[in-house]
Amino acid sequence: MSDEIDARLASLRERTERLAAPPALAARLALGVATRRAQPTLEGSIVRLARPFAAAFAAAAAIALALAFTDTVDDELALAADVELAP
Amino acid sequence: MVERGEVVEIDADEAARRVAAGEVEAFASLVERTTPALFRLAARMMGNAVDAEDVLQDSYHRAFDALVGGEFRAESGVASWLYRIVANTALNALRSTKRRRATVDVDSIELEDPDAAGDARAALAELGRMLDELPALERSAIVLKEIEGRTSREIAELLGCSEGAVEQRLVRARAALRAKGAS
Repeated sequence: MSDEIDARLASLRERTERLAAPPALAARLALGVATRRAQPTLEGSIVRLARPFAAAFAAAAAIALALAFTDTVDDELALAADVELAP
Repeated sequence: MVERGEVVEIDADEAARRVAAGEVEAFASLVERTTPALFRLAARMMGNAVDAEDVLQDSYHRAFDALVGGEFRAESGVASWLYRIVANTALNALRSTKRRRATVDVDSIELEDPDAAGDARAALAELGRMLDELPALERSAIVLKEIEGRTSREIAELLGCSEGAVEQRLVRARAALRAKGAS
């Protein structure tokens, strides 16, 4: 490294040694952690919000499956009938 | 442990042990004991106080989760462990496009010696500007080596890369700083 850059970095190192955190920073940081602990996670919130609708979703899915199955059976029956009725 | 009236002061390692044992209130003591040194590290790596505070908040969240999750091993002491967390969180922040490039909120920094306020603020601003164009890993390596005074081996352990990779980053960073200085 060039001497000039070495000297500049050494000077910045010494001068920034005197930097200190604001007095209230530690309290703010600790509060930040405590606040997050007190709050439910987003995932937890979504699960909790979705829970009352779970039964409705399950019912809708069951109906959709049943309809799909019925359509399939009807199609197969119709196809079979066509085959049987075909001359 | 030091008792002062009704306030019981504990050191950082004791606070970490207590948090890990389920006494989560002790985390405030850990933050209080470790914030001064970690703020200096974060400010030097980020080049400004606002990003440094964000990095510290993120780091303490991670540390708390690790402590209560039983992931902390006390071999190296909690201060070294936190130093590593902050260095890595700062590196990730430097890689992020959301960070404040060369915006220096130096007025929010308070100093132990008010007479030195202007100079230390100016020094942080100067450091931020000097390193602002460097890629995140090169910038982190040069701060840890030249400003924090860490060895290449320590930097490699901190950043989770090989010593050779650290040396390579330092060479590139110095070359970039020379070129910038010459331009």
